[in-house]
Parts: sequence; C-alpha cells; structure tokens
Amino acid sequence: MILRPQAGDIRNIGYYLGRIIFCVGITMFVPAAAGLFLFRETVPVCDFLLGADTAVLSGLLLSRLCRRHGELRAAQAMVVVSLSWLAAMAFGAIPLYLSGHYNSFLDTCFETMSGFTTTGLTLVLDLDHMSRTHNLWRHLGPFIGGQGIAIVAVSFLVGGSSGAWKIYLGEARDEKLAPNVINTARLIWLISIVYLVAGTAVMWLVGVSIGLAPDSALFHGMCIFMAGFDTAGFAPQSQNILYYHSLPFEISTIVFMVLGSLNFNLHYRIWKGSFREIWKNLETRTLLLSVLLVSLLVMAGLKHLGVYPGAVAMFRKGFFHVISAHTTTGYMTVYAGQFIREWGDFALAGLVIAMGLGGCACSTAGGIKMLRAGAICKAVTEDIKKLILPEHSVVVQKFYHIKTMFLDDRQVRNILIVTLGYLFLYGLGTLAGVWYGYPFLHALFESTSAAANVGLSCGITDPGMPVPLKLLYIVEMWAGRLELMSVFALFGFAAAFLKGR
Amino acid sequence: MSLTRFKCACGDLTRQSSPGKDSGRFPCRTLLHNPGLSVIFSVILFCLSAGFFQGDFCLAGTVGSRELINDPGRYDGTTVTFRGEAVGDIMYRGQYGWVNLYDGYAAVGIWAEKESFKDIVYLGGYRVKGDIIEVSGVFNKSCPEHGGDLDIHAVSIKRAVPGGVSILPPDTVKMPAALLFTAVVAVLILFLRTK
Repeated sequence: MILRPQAGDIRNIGYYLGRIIFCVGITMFVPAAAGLFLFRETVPVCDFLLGADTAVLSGLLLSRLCRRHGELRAAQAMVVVSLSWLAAMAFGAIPLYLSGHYNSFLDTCFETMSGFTTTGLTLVLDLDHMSRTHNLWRHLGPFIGGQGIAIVAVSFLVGGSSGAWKIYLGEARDEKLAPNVINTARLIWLISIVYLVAGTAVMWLVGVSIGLAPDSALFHGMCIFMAGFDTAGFAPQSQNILYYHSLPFEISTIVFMVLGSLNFNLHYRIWKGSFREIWKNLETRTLLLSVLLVSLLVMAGLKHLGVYPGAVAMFRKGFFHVISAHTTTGYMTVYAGQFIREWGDFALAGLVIAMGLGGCACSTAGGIKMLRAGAICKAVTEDIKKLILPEHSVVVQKFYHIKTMFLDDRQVRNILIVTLGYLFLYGLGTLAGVWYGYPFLHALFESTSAAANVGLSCGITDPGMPVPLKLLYIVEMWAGRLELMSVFALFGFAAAFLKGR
Repeated sequence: MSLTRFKCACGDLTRQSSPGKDSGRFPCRTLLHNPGLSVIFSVILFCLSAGFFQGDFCLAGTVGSRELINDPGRYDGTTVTFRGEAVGDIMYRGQYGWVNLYDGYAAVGIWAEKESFKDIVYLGGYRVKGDIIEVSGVFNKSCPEHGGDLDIHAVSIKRAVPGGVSILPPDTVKMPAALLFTAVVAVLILFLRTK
C-alpha cells in the first residue's frame, strides 16, 4: 500500500528547499559584487540584485512557512534535491533573462539548467556583446552545480544534521572523503577552490602569452577554468575555444578537463601522496583504455574522409574533441556545422560513445561513468569465466577503487539499472529529435550530449529549436545530472500524493 | 549558291553566302569585330567562367560566415572578401596576430600581419560596437598552419564602418526597483533574525 505524504513531509521538504533557494540567492551576490567593483557594469548589477532578492525572499518565506518537522528521511531528501535543482534553474535564470540576450524565459531556464548541470549547451544570443557580470554568472553556475547545489546548503546551512548525508546521496554522490559528510562536502569545496586559484593563474599566464590583455586574460582564464574543470564547456565568446586559436590554450584546457572528470576521492588520495592510486584505480584504467579506443575510432573516421590536411591537424582536432566528449565538458574548436558536414558519421559515432560513457564517479562529469563501465566489463568477464571453468569452481571478481572491493550481483544490478536509465534517456531524446525531423545520428548526438551533461552540439540546439525539444533537453540534463534516482523519487512522491492512502 | 569573299571594315576577310542589298558593307562574322555581338559574347563568357571558377566569383562580393561554415569546400584555398564586426581581443603572435570578425551568424578568425590591425580602434563587447572590418584573404576550411582551424589569412584589411561605445542612459526602472527591493529584503532579514 502506498502511503500518501503527510503535512510533516511537505513541511520538511519545504524547509530544506527554502534553505537551498536562499543559498542560491546569496550566490548571486558574487557576480553582483564583481560587476559593481571590478567590471563597473551598473545595469547588470541591478539584474543580479533583482534575481538575488527574489530568491532570498522566496527561500526565506518558504523555510519560515514550512518549519522543520523531525529528521529528513531518505525519500524526502531525494525530493528536496530534485526540486532544488528546478528551483535553482528558475531563480538563477532571472538575471540572465533580464540581460536581454535570450529569446524567452524558457531559453534562459535552458541555459541555467545547462550551466548548473555542467552541460554547456547554450541558447544565448549575441554572446560576444554580453556583459562580464552576466558571463561570470554563466560560468559560476557550473562551478556551484559541479560540486552540487544542495551540497552548498549542506556545507554551510544545514549544519551537522543527518539530513546532510541523505541530501549528499541524493545528488548522485556516495563517496566519503572524510568520516563526516559535512567535512566531505567542505573537502570537495577546498579541492575545487585550490584548483580554481591554481587553474586561473595557469590560464591567465597562457592567456597573456597568446596575446590577451592582462585583465581580459584573467577574466577568460577564470571562466574557462571554471567551465573546464567543472566539465561544463561554456566559454565567454561565441566561438568557444576556437576563439583563442592557440595550441597551448587547448593543451591547458585538456589538462583541466581531465582533472575535472576524475573522482574527488582520487584527487584527495593524490593530495595525500598516494600517486599509485592513479594506475591502480579501475576508473582511471577504464578511462584511459576508453579514451584510446575512442580516439582510434574518431581518427580513423577523420582519416577515411580526409577531413584534415595532415596528421598533426587531425590529431589536434580529433583528440581535443574526444577528451571534451569523454570528460563530458563540451569544449569545441570546430563549428557545430562542421561536425555534420565534414566529420562524417563514423567519427560522430565515436564521439557519441565517448559522451555516453562519460567521466568518473563522484566528479563533475556526467554520463554512465567509468566506474560503472569498468564494473560491467568485470561482470561480463566473470560470467565468461564461469562458462569456461568447471561447474564447481568459484569465480570471485574483485576490483580496486580506493580500496579493494568485491563485485557482487547486487552491485551489478544497481549499476545496470542506472546504465539502463541513461540509455533510456539517450533514446528518448533521440526519438524526439527524429520526430522533429532531424537525422537519426544528429538526434542521437544531441540527446546524448544533453543527458550525459556534455554540451557538444551538432547544431540542433539553437534558439529556434522546437519548444517541446527544449523542455525535453532540460529534463534530460536534470535527470542525467542526478543520475535519475532523485527524479524517480520525485515522480514516486507525486504518485503517492495522488494515489496514496 | 555562290560563296563570295568580302572585306570587312576592319580589314579581315569574311565570307557571306547570301550578300545583302548593301553589298559594300557586310556585317563581320568574327564576333570580336562586331560591337553588338561582342558585348553579348562577353557577358556569356563571363557568366560561364564565373560558374566554372566558382571560388574566384566570390571576389565580386563578400561572402558570409554561414556560407564559409556550411559550404567550406567551395571556398577552400580561394581568396574571399569577408566583412564583420571585430569582437573580443586582438591577439598578437610575433609579427602576426588574430582577430575574430562576427557577421551576425558566427565569428571567423582572421590571421594577419601585426601592421594590418592598426586601423582597428573598437573591438566589440558589452556596450561597445566594434569596427566593421572588411578583409580580403585566403580562406582555409582546415588550415594546415593553424592546426586545422577554419580561418582566413588576410591579404588586406580595411575598416569599413567605425564602431563606438554606446552610452546608455541610467535605467530608470531597474535601478530604483533593485535598490528598493534589496532594502526591503535586508530589513526583512534583520527583522526575522531579531524576532
């Protein structure tokens, strides 16, 4: 029997949701302050004050109206997480909408969801004339969303309640860097901020060396680092990374894309001096192997069609986009139209595989994840061994991920459920794309890019695309980022509300 | 029918199978020696050559980024004239440099000698309308010199329309609304904290 949610459940959800919305509002004061004191852009600052005030007021009122009612339960936490991402999208979209660079509020919501989920698909108009304040917010979104919107609240607002761990789990994270979840969240922030400072400094130096003015290099460096390390793929200019026409810049972004797609737990182990983790870990091994195989596929496709004049150019373009796709960043050094007209179906199929597989678990990357892909390969190997070996032999499959683990059927079942969920999402978006008249491979490419939070585009994502497709991509980005479970919990909660007793 | 040789006014011999009434002044059948026919012939020849040497035909007018990106093979290696707003930054690399020109559809990278950029005063950005630049140069769909980038190696750059900074009047709606709203929220937070 399904139980209808009680008033206490709603109040608890409302309370935590209100706190998270409040927190989203507070973060909007960062670009407002930068706009006021650094960029001297008064009108954009007003956009952010209006957005921040609306979020802060709404959050405050919601958390006051729905006072906490006991401990947060796991199902409630899942609902809080899934709703908080929708709320963050709606409130975060206000300043961008007021900028006048979008056709509609829906387009702005698309952009904000794309940013928070570290996807990078964009519907912006005339990006080259956007204010730095608004552009900073576009890049700050992935930095916040990459660590987890609810984690922000967990780190600074919720305190030491047991609800924190449930919210942490709800945002598709399940690895503890420290015994306490609050400390885990703060460690994730510490790692990210240390990388932000170091990464911005590196990108600034590269920017100055390739001819950018020092202030411009600092702004570009910070934006590119935030969107690269958080695997979002936004850039301050409409040409994305092609704008810089620079090999050192591309190499730097490759390094940050790879770093961003690695497990935070792995970063922490490396920080603590355990460098052997990189080679022993199942995830990094799977990622390395997958990158090599997909690179071969893409290069073969490009070579077959003779797209680039020489091996160097082919490797530079091919490898950059394989890394961009595999780390689910979405940075581009070609135009979307070139993918369709020049790259050919074989190379595009290679990129679709890379996007679908994605980066590492407990990172800012999306997709099925390397840990799952590696575990599925292990499970298949185990089954083949069982077939070959004598009937009474016992086959045990183990793997190394931070510690040695045994792969049991329950784990494989959970992994396969999430994997199937992703495949369903990729397929759903593809069907919708084909329905609207796009070729199958292009629809698959764009749908996988949205659901795996990548951001590479072959041109379907455009301000003029059909509204239902925009809505579907928003859902794909949202569900993909939360690895579906929190979204299922929200639907379950809604069903219980309607049908429960 | 008798075939008679006659002399053209230009001195060349021509043949007329059926002489006209004015037998002393026959029209010359060598086209280039006939003003009317030569004009028609020239037009046809020009159209045919334009169709045959499609890339060169672009020299007659500017080409847009939409055509360059969506049909790059057609223009690859040919000299094109491209016009767009200079946006972002000029990035100098030794004696050369890059500037990106945006024509309303997409921005295209222009590689040119450092000296060529001296006329560019305004670069497009927030509240800045960049100079509209007209560039003639060799288009590369995947430039071997620049890692396969789609670019134009400029031969000549000139400023077609000067840009400028747009001075906006203070926003009389947003600014007071934002300040008032912020004050209300701040008071409310203080009130709720003290309560």
